[in-house]
Amino acid sequence: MIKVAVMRDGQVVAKAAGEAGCIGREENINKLYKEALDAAGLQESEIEKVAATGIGKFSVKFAADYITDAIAEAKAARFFFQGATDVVDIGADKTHVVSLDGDKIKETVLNQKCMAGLGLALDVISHRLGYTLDEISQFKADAAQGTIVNDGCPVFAELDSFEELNQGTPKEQVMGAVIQSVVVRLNSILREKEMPAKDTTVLLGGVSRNKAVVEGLKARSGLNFLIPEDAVYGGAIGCALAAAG
Amino acid sequence: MSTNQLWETKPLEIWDRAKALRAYWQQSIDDSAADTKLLLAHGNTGDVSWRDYFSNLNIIEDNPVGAMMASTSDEFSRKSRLASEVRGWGREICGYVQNCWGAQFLGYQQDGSVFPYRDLSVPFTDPCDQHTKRGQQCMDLSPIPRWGGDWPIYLGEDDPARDKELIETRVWCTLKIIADIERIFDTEFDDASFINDIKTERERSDHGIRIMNLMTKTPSPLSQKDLYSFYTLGGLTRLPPEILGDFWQALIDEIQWRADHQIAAVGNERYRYMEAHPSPWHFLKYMRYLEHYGAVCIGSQYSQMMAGSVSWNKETKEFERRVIRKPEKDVENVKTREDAVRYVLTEARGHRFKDDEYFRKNEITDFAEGFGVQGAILALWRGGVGCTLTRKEQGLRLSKMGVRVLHYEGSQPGDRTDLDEKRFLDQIDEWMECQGLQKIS
Amino acid sequence: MKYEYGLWPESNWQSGGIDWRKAKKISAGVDVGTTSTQAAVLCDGELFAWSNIRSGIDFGYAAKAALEQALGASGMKAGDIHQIAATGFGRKNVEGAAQRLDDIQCHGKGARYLFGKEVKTVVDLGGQTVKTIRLYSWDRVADFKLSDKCAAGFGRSIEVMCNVFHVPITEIGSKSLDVEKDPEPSSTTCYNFANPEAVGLLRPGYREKDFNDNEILASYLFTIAWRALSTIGKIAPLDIGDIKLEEKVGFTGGLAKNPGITKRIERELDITAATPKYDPMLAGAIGAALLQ
Repeated sequence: MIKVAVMRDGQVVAKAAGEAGCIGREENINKLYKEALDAAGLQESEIEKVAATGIGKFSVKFAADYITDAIAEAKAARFFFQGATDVVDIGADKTHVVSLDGDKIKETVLNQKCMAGLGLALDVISHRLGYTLDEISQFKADAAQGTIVNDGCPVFAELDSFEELNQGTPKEQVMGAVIQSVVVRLNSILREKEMPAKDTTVLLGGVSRNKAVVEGLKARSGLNFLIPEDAVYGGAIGCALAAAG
Repeated sequence: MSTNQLWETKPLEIWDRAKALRAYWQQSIDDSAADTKLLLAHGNTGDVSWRDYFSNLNIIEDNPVGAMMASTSDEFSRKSRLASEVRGWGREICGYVQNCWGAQFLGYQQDGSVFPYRDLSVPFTDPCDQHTKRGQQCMDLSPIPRWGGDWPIYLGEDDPARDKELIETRVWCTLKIIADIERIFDTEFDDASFINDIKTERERSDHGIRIMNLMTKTPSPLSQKDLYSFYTLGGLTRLPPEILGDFWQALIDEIQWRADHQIAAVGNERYRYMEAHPSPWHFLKYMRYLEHYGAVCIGSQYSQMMAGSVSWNKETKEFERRVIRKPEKDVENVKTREDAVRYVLTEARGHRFKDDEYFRKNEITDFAEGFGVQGAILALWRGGVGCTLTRKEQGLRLSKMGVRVLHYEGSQPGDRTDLDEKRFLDQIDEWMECQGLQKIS
Repeated sequence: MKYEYGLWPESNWQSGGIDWRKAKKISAGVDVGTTSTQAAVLCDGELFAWSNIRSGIDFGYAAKAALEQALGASGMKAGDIHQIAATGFGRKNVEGAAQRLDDIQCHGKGARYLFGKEVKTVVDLGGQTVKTIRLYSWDRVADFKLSDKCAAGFGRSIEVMCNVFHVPITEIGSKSLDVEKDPEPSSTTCYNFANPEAVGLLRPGYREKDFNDNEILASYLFTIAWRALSTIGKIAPLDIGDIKLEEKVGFTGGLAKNPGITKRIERELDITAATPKYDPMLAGAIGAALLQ
């Protein structure tokens, strides 16, 4: 996903989100940027500085600056909650945990290459099982009813899902098991170095919109995530703040 | 000198000489393949030099072959790895080994010449990971003899009685290997030379430790990039003294001169980081990339191993060699083969840094302190499970002392397809920028 | 995420030239895979009708739907079929199946039907697995190999990546071949590594020249094709030397229709893909029908 955020004097005045579609993503980026500006009634010339962040940042050819993910996330977290000490950003292709020490970044953790637990894996498997992301967001904590799928690898998780269906397990339980496996994986990433703080950890990224995953993760990790309304735009907002200096 | 350059720099004068020496390595392989001597796979038990005392034996080690293959032809390396995989050798095996023995299964080397099949195998087995499978691939092909030396691991507190027993096990293993080779190949171990060499052996050279200490200076006169090349040179070529000459002394002299005149390995050095054992495959590329940030790789457990087991003396501010165990008997009393083997086997266990009570806990932090590093890059690999666990542990120790650690998933040695280069670059950029550093060149 | 790009076209076919009412024996086979399901109907051993659809999550329903779509407007109903056999991952969920048969033997028989006698080795490039089969005599199985669990996700991986890339699955193969030189494959360990790495290829790297769009697709498909090679290689006689198969090999399964995969396997193993008489995804279903 591409996220755009336009800010003026510390306020968000425009935002837009759209699919990246990697091949040809430059085109999609340019289009989305224009859309965001149009929606806010702004001209390109009115924008003082453009910065880009994320895995695809270098495809934003008109950016004056490229901001590393952790710095954008840290700035966003503090923007949303002044007392934030940790940021967790769970997206399609990565999970990032950033710990702050005053204004400095103390430590960062990135998930290993494996896609397990990530937004893309969740999207793909739930679609394969016939659900939309909105639908699975409503799932309750006990949806799995004891069914378990592999939590180390999304390929195995999907395979396990097929096998469960083959054996006649109701698909709601299978989906519940997949959600559970995502939660288990995310929890282990959180613990990689030092556990983020209980009450001052901000959650950003697309997966923060998934209530089922968030509730499951809160319960398993013991963290009371602070989730801003604009959590999905965390990276973009942090990036805009960095551009503003 | 650009405005970003803090120190004067110049290339090492000894490079040409080093390159000339390295050319001997390929020559030694070609010679080994061509002559009629028995070919030993691995042969690295660390303590007894098979090649020196069995006159009809030569050694070609697999790691250097695999590395050479990987650095000259992606296509041939891939083809070799496939040939190995198809025969059931999984992706848990080190890429060097897959490369080398894959070519064995193909039956030919990169240049089309026949693969120099091995006649026997004495690998050094490391219980922690894929090393336990070393030497099996050539045994798979035909029933050549293979011996595994015991390399026990013990994680408890210092226990001399236990160590004594562990040494006895290793003595027995070594004696058995020698006796078996004699019997099977109808040959003789040169006991006289073995004993004589023990008695006349000079003090272990202190080149390694002298180089280490010179690298603690700021700016460092030598970076890990360079040192790694020299390190492999030493292991690779095993050159006779008449060819090697005073190479090591010349190298040290040049480094000393550079240190005295503050000639830096990297001109914009302003950040020092270290890495762990062993060096990751693509280190040249990422070390060069990091120099854009003025970051220099100084220490590595791997190449600094040539100094042996060391510790950092906080008072004298120098690395010192640790003497782990003195031999039981005086060298004067070494009369028989058994005496001699027991004499050289002062190490009870395998790679000391895995389980030695001081080494394991302190070596990495000693390095960090001695070299004055701010950061550490520690690679995690699939094939080297033991090393990976160690690096996670080391990462925690380093973090505690304030060193900024970057863990990344490195490629299997010798398998370039295994590194997600772009991801790694993002990680490096982030690691630098989170510490407040921007590119300066 | 938009899912339209990974949707390969479903299809069905009925023979115009066979009067099924005159057939002495009508048999059918249904092959329910994790990703796709096929139905094949034979009249006296001749292929009368077939279909190829997505399996979805209800395998029993997929079997029914596949059979219905195969029969189409031919006039034949499921009840007219004398015997139905089921094979594939979801075979136990196929209602009305007289027999549930294993993949390998069905596949061997079906491959013979598709390729004739020139092919000795069959490679099934499926959604989750690669299977290789060596045949002897007409349709007997001499040996077979399956890919590891860990190499799972072949065709499935491509479905996913087409959606990430926004490249239609019917075009990704040919696009990937439109390159000057095939770049090195990305991580060949697991498609979970290959997928994010393929996305990362859009980022500038160490090299001076970065990949263009087609080269990224090429690197990615080369990776997937590479995973198949070790399973395929295992079926070959493993003397010292290069992997040697006969010149013509029969590719079946969904990826048999992806030239980005098949051309690369051909190149790496120095073989040629034989041309099947019908859609190569039908081997299992046809084989099951033949065994009735």
